Amino acid sequence: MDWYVLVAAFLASSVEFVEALTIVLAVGTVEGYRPALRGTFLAVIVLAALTAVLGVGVLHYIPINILRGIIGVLLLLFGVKWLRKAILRFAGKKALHDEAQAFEREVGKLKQNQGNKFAAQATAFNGVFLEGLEVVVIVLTMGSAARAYPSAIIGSAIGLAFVLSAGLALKAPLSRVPENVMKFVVGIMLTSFGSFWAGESLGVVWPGHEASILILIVGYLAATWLIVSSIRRRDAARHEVA
Amino acid sequence: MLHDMKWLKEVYDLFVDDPKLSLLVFVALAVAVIVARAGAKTAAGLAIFLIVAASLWFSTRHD
Repeated sequence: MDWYVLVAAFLASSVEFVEALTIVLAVGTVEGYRPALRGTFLAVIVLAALTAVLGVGVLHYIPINILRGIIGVLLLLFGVKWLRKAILRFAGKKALHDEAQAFEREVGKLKQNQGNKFAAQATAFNGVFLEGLEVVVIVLTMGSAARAYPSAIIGSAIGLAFVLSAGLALKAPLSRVPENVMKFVVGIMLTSFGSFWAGESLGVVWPGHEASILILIVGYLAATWLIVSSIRRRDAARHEVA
Repeated sequence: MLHDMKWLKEVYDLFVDDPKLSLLVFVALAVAVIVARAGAKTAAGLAIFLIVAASLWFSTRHD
């Protein structure tokens, strides 16, 4: 079992499915749970098929060295994108994601088109599919580069089960899940894995081999903490001058 | 055709939020290749880390 991959997949799938759950609950509240669950079920089937087809194809037809290079670059791009957003959120430059607000917004949009069951089903499908697509990218990239598909799949399945059970029990958006912190942790992990695999395929020799991933995680954590505090200090100084 | 382009944009958006930051990631990797080819294979890893961290600094402070 690859614990790094399992934790990254669990955290990423949990935050993405929390966002998908908000959309499904909004559809269920306005149009009833039948179209909401039908859309969700179809999206999960398409996502599972996509993971299976791409996963099998990728592992069987692309040599592992080339695969790690391509995946390292994609993970690095994906990771810095998440990390950038997380830095801006923690520095106060971007609003923190709030599921209760997102739910109200979604309900408002759906009410404008109330009575259209097909549109409601399509909304649930799109919500789950688009949020799930990021999970598929993480499962495919981390699973294939680390040769740890089972860990990636188990991690994301635990995330899905956790969000589903909490959503069914509460029947409300999961606004108490520390989504912003989880996105920050995932951003750090993806950037570290991406740096490691992309570097390795380009000829970098990492001291201690896979132990370097931990050093990269600590390094990126320190760097982001410095960036967040410097932006906060700068903005505070600007407010004082104003 | 337009439908295909829409999907291409979705895929692009999946990986790219700030194009300058993504470009700097490629610069980091190019520098790492040069440093590794020059024989400093461990320093090449440090170059990736430092350039990526500096790029995040640049991208978020200029947002």
